[in-house]
Amino acid sequence: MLVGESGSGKTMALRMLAGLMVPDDGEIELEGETYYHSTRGRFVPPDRRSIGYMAQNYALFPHLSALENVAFGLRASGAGKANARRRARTMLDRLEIVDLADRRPSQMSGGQQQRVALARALVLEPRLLLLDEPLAALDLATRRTVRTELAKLLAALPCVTVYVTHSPAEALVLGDLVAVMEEGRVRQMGTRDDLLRHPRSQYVAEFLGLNLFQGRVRAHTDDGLAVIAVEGGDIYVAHDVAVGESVHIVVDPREVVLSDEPPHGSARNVFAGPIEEMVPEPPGDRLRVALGSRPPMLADITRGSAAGMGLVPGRMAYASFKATGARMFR
Amino acid sequence: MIRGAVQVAMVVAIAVLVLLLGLPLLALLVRVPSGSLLSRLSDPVIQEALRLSLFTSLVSTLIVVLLGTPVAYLLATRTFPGKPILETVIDLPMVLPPTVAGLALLLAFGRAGLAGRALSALGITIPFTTAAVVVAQVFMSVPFFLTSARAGFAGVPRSLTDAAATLRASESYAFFRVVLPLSMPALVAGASMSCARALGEFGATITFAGNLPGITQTMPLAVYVAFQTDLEASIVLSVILMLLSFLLLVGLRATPAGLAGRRPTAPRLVSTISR
Repeated sequence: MLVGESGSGKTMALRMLAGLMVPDDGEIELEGETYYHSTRGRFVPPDRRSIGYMAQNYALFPHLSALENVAFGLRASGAGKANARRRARTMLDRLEIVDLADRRPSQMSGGQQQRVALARALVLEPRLLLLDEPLAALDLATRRTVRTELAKLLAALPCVTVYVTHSPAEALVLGDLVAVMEEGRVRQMGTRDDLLRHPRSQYVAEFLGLNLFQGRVRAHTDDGLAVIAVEGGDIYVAHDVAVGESVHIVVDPREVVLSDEPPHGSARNVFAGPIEEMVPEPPGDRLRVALGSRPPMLADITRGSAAGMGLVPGRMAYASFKATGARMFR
Repeated sequence: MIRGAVQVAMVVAIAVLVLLLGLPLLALLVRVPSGSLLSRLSDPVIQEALRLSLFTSLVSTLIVVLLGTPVAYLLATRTFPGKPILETVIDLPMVLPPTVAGLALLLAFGRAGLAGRALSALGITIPFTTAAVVVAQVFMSVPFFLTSARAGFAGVPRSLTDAAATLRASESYAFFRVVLPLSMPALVAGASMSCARALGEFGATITFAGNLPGITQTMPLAVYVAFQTDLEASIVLSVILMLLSFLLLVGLRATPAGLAGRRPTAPRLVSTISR
C-alpha cells in the first residue's frame, strides 16, 4: 500500500517498477531477478517483466472487446488465437464478468472496466501486480461496493500487490503493509497498527490522522443501525452488516463535534474524556484535539470555538458524531 | 447591436465565400456541351491523360503512405537532435510554389543536376518520364499525409501504449495491434488528401516532367493545353477531374471518423479515440 498526497511520487514509483520510466539510480529486484541496476547498467523493458500494471483510467483498448483486451497479452507473448481466447474467457469467468466478453469498453460501466483491466493483467500470471488508484475513476456510489469486492479479490491473489492511493482510509483498511510517501520519499513503512501507534514524523501523524477502530458487529438497533463493539466501547454505524462480522471503522476528525457539556443533538456516538493534546492543524485556523475517552478520539475544532468553550488540555470534554459520519470497511 | 453586427458579418462572409467557391463549379457544369461528355471520353488524348493521371497518383499515394507512415510515427513518438529541421524540410512543399519545386527537382535529378549525374551514370534518367511525374507528385503531396498521420499517431493516448508494453507487447506488436487501428481514420484521411493533391498537381509536373502526351501529360496539363486550342475539350476534362476529386472527398468523409459525423481532421481524432 503506497499512500501519499498527489504529487508525492506514488505513480512515478509504480511506473518505475513497471519499467515505463527509468529511475535515475538505484536497483529494482523482484524475487531474485534484477529489473534495474543503475551501476551495472541493467534495465529490463516493461514487456519482459513479470509485472501486471493497471493504470488509473484502466487504459482498456477501445477498439477491442473485453475478451480481446484480456487475450491481448497472451497473443503478444506468442499464444495462438484460439488458446489465448480460451484462457481469456476462463479469466473473465473467474472474475464473474464472462457476460461482458463481447462488449467494447465504451459499453461498460467504470466498475466493469476495472474488472476487465484486472483480468487483462492477471491472465498473464504476473509475480507482482501494480494498481494505480484503482478506485479513483469510479463515482462515489460504485466505489464502495467495488472496494469491498476488490479487497476480497486481492486477498485471494497468489501474487504480491502494490496498491497506490491518496486516501489514508483506503490504505489503512486494505493494506497489510503501508508506506507513506512524501516528496518522492517513503516517510514510514509499517503495518497499520505501527503507523497509527508510532507515527515517526509529524507528516505521517497528520496524514494518517484519522480515527480508526477495529471491531465486530455486536447487534442491530431497532432503527437500523449496527452496533460495533470496539476496544473501549460501542460505536453506532449506519450500515448494513451481519452480526458477528469483523469490520474497520474510520471516522474523520472533521466529522467529530467537541463540546464542553453532554450534547443534546441527534448524534448517536458520544464519548467523554479529558483533553490530552491540542495541536494546530494547518492550513487554516484549526486545532486537532486528542481526547482521552474510551475509545480515544481525535477531533478537529476551530481556535475560536475552542476558546469560546474554554477547552484546554486537561479539561473534560465530549466528542460526538452521527452514525452516518462513520465509514465502515469490511 | 454588436451581436446583430456579428451575425450580419457572418452571413455576408458566407454568401461571398459560397459565391466564390460555388459559382465557378456551377459555371463549369452548365457549360458542359450536352451529350458530349461520354463521346469525349473516347477521345484518345483524354483517355491517355485520364489513365496516366489515375496511374501516377495511385503510385505516388502508395509511395507516400509507405514512406510517410514510418516517418510520421517517428515524428509523433520520438525526439531527436535535428527534429525541427526535419519537420521544416518536410513541411516546405506545402508553402513552396509548385513551379519552384519543379525547378528544384530538375536541378537535383536533371541530367546535369546534383544527383542526376550519378543517376545517369547508372543509366537512370528521371526528367521528362512518367517516373518524373510520380516524383513531382510525391514531392508535392507527402506533407499532407505526414501532417494527418502524425496527428493520428500522436492522438493515441500514451496510457494505451503503456498498457500494451506492460502486457508483454513489443513496440512493433503494439504498433500493429493498437496504434495503427486507432490511427487508421487519420491515415486514410491523409492518404486521400495526398491523393487529391497528386491528382491536381500541375506546376511541378510541367516543369520537371514536361508535357508529353501519354508519358507525362496528366489531366491538369491536358486541361491547360486544351484550354488554348479547344475550350470545349478543356471543359470536359475539367469536369472529369472535378468529379474525381469530388469522389475522393466523398470517400474521405466515408472513413470511420467521417461516418461518426466528424471530419477526420487531426485534433478531433483524439476525442474519437478516447471516446
